Amino acid sequence: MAATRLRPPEGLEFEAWLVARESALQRTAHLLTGDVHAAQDLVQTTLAKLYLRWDRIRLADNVDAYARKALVNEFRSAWRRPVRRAEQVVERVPDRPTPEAPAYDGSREAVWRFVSGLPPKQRAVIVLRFYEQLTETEIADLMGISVGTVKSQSSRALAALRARLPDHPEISGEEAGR
Amino acid sequence: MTAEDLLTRTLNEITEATEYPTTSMSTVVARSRAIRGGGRRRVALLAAAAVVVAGGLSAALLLGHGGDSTPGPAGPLGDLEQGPAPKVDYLDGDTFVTTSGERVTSPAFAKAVTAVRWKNGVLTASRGTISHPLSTISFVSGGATSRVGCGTPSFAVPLDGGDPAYWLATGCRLDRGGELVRGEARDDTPKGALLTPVGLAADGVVTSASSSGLRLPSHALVIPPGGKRWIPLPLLGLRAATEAGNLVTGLGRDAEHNVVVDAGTGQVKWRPSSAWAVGRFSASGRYLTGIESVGVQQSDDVGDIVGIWDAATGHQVLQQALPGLIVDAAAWEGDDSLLVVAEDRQGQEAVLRVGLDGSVTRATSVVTGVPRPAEGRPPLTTLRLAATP
Repeated sequence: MAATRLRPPEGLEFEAWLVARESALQRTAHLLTGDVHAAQDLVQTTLAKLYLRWDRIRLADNVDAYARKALVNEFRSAWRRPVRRAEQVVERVPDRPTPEAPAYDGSREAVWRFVSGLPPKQRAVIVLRFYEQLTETEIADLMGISVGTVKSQSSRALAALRARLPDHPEISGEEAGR
Repeated sequence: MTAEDLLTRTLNEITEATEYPTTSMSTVVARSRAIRGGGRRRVALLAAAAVVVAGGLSAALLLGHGGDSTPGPAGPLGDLEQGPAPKVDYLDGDTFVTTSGERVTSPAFAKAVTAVRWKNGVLTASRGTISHPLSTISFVSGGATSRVGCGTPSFAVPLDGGDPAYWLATGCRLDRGGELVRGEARDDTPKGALLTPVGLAADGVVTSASSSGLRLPSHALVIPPGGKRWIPLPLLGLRAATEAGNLVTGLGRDAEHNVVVDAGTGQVKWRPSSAWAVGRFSASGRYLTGIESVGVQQSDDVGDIVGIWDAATGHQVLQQALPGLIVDAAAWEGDDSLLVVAEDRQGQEAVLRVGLDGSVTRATSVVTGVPRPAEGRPPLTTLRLAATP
């Protein structure tokens, strides 16, 4: 047997994987954070952590799923950090109250504003369910929560959305009235 | 349209309408360095705590309270007592040193990751590079060095001193398959698979098979003579197998945890903590060793930790902290003691002997190596242990 720990050519593999898959991570991170710059920060932190453990991760059956899980976990860690949750850095102290969010007008931007305004956990469930098209079981496994929690988080978000939808031009009356 | 459909459509439209930045490898590397710096500080504290705990256990033993670990301060390399020479061949710079003290010199040994005696010479495998990831396999005999081919830097060695097994890549390419070589026997292996033999069992060569591409999963396999029937093992990354072939260890299918698996039934017998890099089984397969790497540290109190477990039960027999030292490789002297290559922060190296009783002595004199960089790929150590069964 070899007496020395082996070091596979992981550097080349990681760079190839990065080129192929980073944009998918950026998109998911954007939907999770609601902000392109915050998404970039989230993705870079996730990539750095993946890079540090690549010699193990590269052996996984589904590297992309592993990376997505790492991204969501990093997002969850970030929103749990009290400093980030409680404080928002601004360049100047505002001299007037922040305006209320504009009323729902049925546009794409309005739906996006709605998603961005969801609590982080609910938002993660919504993004994984309706963008990544994961099953409730897969989301539960990925986020380390129960399937029941996934269902309740998803249900609450949909109910809140429907409550804003009665006048949406593309929603059927039956659906909007549920 | 339902609310669900609206969400799906909106989220897709948002991402399609947005241009995203790309992350360069240099950014990833720089960020990982920053993260690792923070991690090191945490690990240093944990390791320091481990030393304190180890010291407590040692005191408990002296007081007759018993316990599993028998740690003691290893101290700087020069302060350790010099014991008998290693009962395992080793490499010292460009020289292969046998257990009987015979020394064979070749430029091929200077870049070798590992080597093994074979017939009237020595087979050796170099470390690959980023641009040439495969190892160069060479044969040194009678003062001449001949190139055998390219492969993975690993030799599976039988206890009886017979032919070692190793893998050669066809055309020195990652994607063309290759041959599993043992003596005169050569078995073709599939395209796209890189084989790393780690042991020889009664059923055949125990090897990991990883994909040269990105998509295929990795496997642990037993390849019987003739290579026609591959027996899959329930592992992703394979580290070691017992000579009897009944136990194998490596990375579990969850890609997170180390496992020790009954190779016959596929049953996971126990899980070494993921903090340990599991190493080798002892000659009879009774013990398994592992190293908890702490890495380069500024404090003399912090160093790598060597662990020894009962391979069948997972009961930890020994946890030995080596303050101020980095451990690079381990090989068993039968079932009795473990040899490790240890470096200090100045780059000095020695082969140390760790006994099951927690004793730590030097098996070689201290040699001057190359100081390990704080970041990046470390250089090959001057001392390297030869392949062992």
